[in-house]
Amino acid sequence: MKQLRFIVILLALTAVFSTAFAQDATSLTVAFDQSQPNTLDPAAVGIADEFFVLRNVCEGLVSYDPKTLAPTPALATSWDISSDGLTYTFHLRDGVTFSDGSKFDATAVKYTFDRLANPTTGTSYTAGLVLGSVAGWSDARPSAPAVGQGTPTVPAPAPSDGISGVKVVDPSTVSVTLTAPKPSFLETLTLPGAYIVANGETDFSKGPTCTGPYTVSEWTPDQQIVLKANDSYWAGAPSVKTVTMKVIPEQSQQEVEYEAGGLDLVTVPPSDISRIQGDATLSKQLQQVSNLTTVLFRINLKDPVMSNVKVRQAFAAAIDRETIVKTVLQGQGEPAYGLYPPSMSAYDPNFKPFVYDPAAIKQALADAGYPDGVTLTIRTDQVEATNDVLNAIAQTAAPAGFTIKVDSTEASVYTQDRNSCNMQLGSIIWGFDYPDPENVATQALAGTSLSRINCGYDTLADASDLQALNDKAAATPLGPDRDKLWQQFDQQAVGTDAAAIPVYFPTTSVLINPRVGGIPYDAQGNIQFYLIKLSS
Amino acid sequence: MLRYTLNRVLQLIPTILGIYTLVFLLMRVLPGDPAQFLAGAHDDAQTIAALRASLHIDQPVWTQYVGFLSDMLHGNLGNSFITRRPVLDMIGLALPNTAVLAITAMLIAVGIGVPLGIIAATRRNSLWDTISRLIALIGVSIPVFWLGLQLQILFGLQLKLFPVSGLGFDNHLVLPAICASMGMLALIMRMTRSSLLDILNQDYIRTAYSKGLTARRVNVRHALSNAVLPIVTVWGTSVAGLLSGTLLVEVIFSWPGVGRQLVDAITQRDYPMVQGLVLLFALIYTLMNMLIDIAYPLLDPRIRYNG
Amino acid sequence: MADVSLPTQNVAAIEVQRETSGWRRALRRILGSPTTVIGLLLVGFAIALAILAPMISPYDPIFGNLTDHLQAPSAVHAFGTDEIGRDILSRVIYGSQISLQIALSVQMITLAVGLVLGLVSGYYGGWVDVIIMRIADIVMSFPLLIIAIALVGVLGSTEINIIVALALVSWPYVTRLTRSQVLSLKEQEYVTAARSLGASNAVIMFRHILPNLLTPVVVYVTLSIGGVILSEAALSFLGLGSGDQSQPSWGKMLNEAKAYIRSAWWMPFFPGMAIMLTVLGFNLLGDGLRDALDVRSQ
Repeated sequence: MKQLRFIVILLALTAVFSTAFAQDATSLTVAFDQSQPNTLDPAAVGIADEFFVLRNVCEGLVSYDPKTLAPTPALATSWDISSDGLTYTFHLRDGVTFSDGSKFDATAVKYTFDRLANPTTGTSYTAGLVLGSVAGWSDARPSAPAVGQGTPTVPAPAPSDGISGVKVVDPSTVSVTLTAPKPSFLETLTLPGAYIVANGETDFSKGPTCTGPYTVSEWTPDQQIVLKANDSYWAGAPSVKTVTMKVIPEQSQQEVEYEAGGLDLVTVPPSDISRIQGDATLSKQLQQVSNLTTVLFRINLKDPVMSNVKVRQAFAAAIDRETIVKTVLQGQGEPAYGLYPPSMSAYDPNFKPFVYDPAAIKQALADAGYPDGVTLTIRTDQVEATNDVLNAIAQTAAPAGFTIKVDSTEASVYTQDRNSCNMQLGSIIWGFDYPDPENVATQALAGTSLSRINCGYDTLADASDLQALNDKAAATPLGPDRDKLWQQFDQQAVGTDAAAIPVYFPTTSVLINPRVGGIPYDAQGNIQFYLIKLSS
Repeated sequence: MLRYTLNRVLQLIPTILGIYTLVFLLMRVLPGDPAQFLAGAHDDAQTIAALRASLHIDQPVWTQYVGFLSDMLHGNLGNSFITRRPVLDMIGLALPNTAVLAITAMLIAVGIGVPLGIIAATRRNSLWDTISRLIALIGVSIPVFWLGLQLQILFGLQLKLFPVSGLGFDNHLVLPAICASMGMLALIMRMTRSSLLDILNQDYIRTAYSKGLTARRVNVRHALSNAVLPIVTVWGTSVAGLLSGTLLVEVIFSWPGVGRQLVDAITQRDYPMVQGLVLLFALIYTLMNMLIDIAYPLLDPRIRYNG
Repeated sequence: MADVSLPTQNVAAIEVQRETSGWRRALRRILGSPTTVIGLLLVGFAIALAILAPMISPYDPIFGNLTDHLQAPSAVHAFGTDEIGRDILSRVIYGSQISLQIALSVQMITLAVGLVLGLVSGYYGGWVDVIIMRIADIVMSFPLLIIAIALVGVLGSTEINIIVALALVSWPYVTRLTRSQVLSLKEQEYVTAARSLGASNAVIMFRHILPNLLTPVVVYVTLSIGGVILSEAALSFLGLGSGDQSQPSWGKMLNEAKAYIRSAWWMPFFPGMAIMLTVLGFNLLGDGLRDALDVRSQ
């Protein structure tokens, strides 16, 4: 009898625990990396935490393969590209409904792009990336006159009626006309600005009405956002049913939560890698995730010292990238000699134009007219990892004849000084908007950037050659030929001109709970809950 | 009394106006353009111009000043540049968190500071006195943010007794509240001790002794009631200090309060948020001082107001 | 609380009971009190570190060896090394320079500005008084952070601007204290006597009134040095201090150490101890001075 009771209790306990686990296997808890979303309007979002939510709630006509990053069908099942590369015809997916029950069709697509083109609603910087080469953009957004110094004070253009290049052909077909061939147009359609919202939606205060695998069920600022699975998702119901996205501003606290079992995934700063590697359990859960970022220097090409290409080359060589990645970054990253990160097909592992040889660099500086070395001030904002790296650069460059002062100010002050180029050189952390070399190549060109115009990137001796090479590469269809052209661009812009000086490609270290399976991070370093499978 | 109070309230108006003007001008003089900050690496003239227009900072400073002022008179502090939500709503979310933290810290400070002060005064030069004075000295000498880090390491990470940070009106409150209470605790303990000592040396206490009252009753009834005034004064003036103290504590412990909001708003050049928060801080400070002045005669009948 | 809000700690009006027995007795009292002597020693030690830094620090405070990063305290690096291999002991030693420079300069400016404004305000009264005190009110009800960051922002994040910013929020306390002293002193017989002898306002203010209120003001300024050091450290900790990475400061070290509290306890520990001991020293010294000079804080 006593035994029987014991067994009953045991069974009851097992039942309790198994249901607990069963529930657990469908819900996931994560934290926002930086702070928290301020808006969930796809036409207005601009920061990583906002993209993080939207990526799981909304989708565009085109998505990307989580491993190869190549464009894949999403709300468009297929597309035709005219032979001149100017007209894209998208065939829309049938039977898709928005989270409010309304039907997805061409009017929603038109509404979305019109909204994005309108300067009052399309405030996200992704608007220009998505629509910049679409016909009608220049009418919707007349270009602001170039400004020499300081802040542009041009009035915003008047709201337009929409973007003429996007047309409804029939309820299930949309055509987009470009002003110039742009093979990367499909890639830019994966940006949040191009996420399709329900026709006529204006209120995004509770989250957007989209067609994605999840919907926003709770949004409590400063605390959390809860996502619920959209079981009628066209590609099948997600296996993770509930996702809680917590606001935990301090990274160290996120780790504590993770170790207590409160978070399933967490990002680890370089400062904590050595501790985690020394921990038997945690070290097994540690993974490196590529995140398509290039850290580089913007240079004032009008500065009397930095306008000398020999000084730029010497400085580029005086950075002991290998040692810095190994020590300061605790191996969280790759030394960068070119602009494109290793996970991109244009990356060339043999491209190493600079050799860290202090004696030789000192000699080169002397030959360039600086026998006593060069004194430089590097400007930066207060991002911890960057400050550490810059201080380390100051150390490795000292024996090569460089006296380097690192001046680290608030981000808002630094941004302004960088835009007016009130500096000798400054740090840039360039996170790719979409996985294409053209997105980072701009860093060596004047383009429309206030900072690079003010820094004299258009005064570079071969500025027009570089621009021509860039335009040629950008107009070449995706593939090896295009990659070759981008490599040529790298050799000239970085190797020869040292107009942009790459330092390293950061990777993200993450701790992943063993119960998280599937694909927790795609090749862009993004989390897509739809791709995650949980085990108990 | 009523006239006095009214007078004080009226005096508030120029102070508030001055504070508002000062913070408005300071933010505009500050380098760091909100639009450029928001645009970040996407620094083309078009993006920045559109952002400036959407934040209404493309208008002349004078227009902005008058606009904000008239909005303020209508009880509208504008929208945050970052979250685009009303400043009042944002402050409304964070203020209760700060209030809970500050009140808990205050309770700790008074609950420990006053008894420690009494013990130290009544047993002058004893071991207790030395310990209390040591606590008080360290309390005013220790950097709050460093104390916070050390508490996190010891109680959060090593002993795992309390959560290291984050919001929660439970054991999450322990470390931040202790941290925020230190300065005030030291001050109150010091004040209690010295004012009690003063009073214990005065004639009427000696008289009370001679009347045959026991030492304990003398201390509590006579001395303490006379020591209340200076203690309340110190307490009141240190409320403002407590506010800035909680600011640092909020930053270290990721406590989503108004102090943290202020630090973020300043670094992000969120003009409307900074204006709203500074007004709030100033109001709390001035109101606290006013309350103390008004409370004086209630605590000490010897003080009278003459108009 | 003594951090961002500066000197509220001892602001409760200081009154003076003037004794004529002079400095000799004060000196005897200072040396007779063990806590004051400890304070003197701590302050003296900090000053010695700052002056002798180049001679006594074992390593270069700015350049370390990258491969020696994040080492725990050992015989080679007594306080360990930081994330880019800099010796923390050397950085703590050099850090005393910036802390003391800033604190002492701030108090000098505060003293000069506060005294003059307090004298004028209390002596002349009327609208001058109203304006000065109203401005003081506004400044006192303004979070230090805002003024400091604004000035540092406008002028650039250099040491001098931090000094100016901190001084700008400190003067009202000295002004108030001075003013209250002047109000009671100006009715004294010797002042009235001087006036009737035809002494000018400036002579009365600076020759007759000033010397008699100097003691409480100096005691107050000594007592609040600790608060200034804490404020400077807090600003640096929040990332609002001097951005020049080649000048180590205790607050900046703590700011950098924040990310390493789990993997390198020595990074936040030693600079924090340095701040605490220095502030403690000034507080003990200030207390001792107050007692010795018979300045009562009510």
